[in-house]
Amino acid sequence: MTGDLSKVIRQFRQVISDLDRAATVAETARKHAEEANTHYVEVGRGTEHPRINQARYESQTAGQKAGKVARLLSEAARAFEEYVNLIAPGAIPRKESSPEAAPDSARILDTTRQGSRSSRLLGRVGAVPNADDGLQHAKKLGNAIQDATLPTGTATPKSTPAFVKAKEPQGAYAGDILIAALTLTIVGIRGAELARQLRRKTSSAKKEKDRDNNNGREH
Amino acid sequence: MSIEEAKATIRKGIEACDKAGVAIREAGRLSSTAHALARSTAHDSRHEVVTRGLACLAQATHEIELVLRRLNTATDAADQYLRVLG
Repeated sequence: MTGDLSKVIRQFRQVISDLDRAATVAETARKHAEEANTHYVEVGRGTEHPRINQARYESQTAGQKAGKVARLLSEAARAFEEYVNLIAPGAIPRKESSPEAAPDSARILDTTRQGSRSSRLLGRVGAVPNADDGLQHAKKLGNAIQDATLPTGTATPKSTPAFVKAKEPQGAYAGDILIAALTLTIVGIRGAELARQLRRKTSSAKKEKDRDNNNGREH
Repeated sequence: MSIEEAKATIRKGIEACDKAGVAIREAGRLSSTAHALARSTAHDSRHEVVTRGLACLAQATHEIELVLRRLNTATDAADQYLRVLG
């Protein structure tokens, strides 16, 4: 399993690297198309000929679409980066990304960083050497946090993504879901104080559950 | 702008479109390789971020075709205007 996981990570790193390069090249295409448009605009100042107007319009649209390609490629790279960091927290440090590739990358990277920071705040998921252990650990932790937070809604995201609501997930995919649920549950919480509050809630919820299970025999 | 200056400027525009075409094809080649590797690596993963990443790549492939089409149309139109100028 560990070998499989490392292979998956290695291949996704290659994918991310290729996509970051592709995004940069697409951005170069956008600049060339804009340069062409500038030339056609210059020529078009002295004429309303439909052919030069067409060249101007089409080169402008080509540039806009090349920019869109760069953003999509960068967004895909960030999605795969997010996935790798979900199944193996910290596997892809931020420096490997190329924020110059697209304007949206900073926002996407922020999301990734929040996930990693959440893992660090909880101080557990990132330190697990074995993938299976990590997934089991994440499952327990995720369940505990969901139990603790749902009644009060303190740390509940405004909208729960569909994949978090999946019923009876199994195998490695279950691990993916639960780590993602864990990450998303924490997103939006700022600072160690809130993380501590969350831990206290987790602890108190467990105690409540224990009391319920014991039918009040503790009192 | 004289006729000759206009023609020279249009040729610069055509050249820039050619460079844009070379670049976007290279982006397409890299993207296609990455897309195939991502699909084979993720194979049966239904994770939301994987699905999102693959969807972005599918859309990027489509947009690359549109960029190439727009660049070709721009160059055809510029060529025709060059002929109008003589």
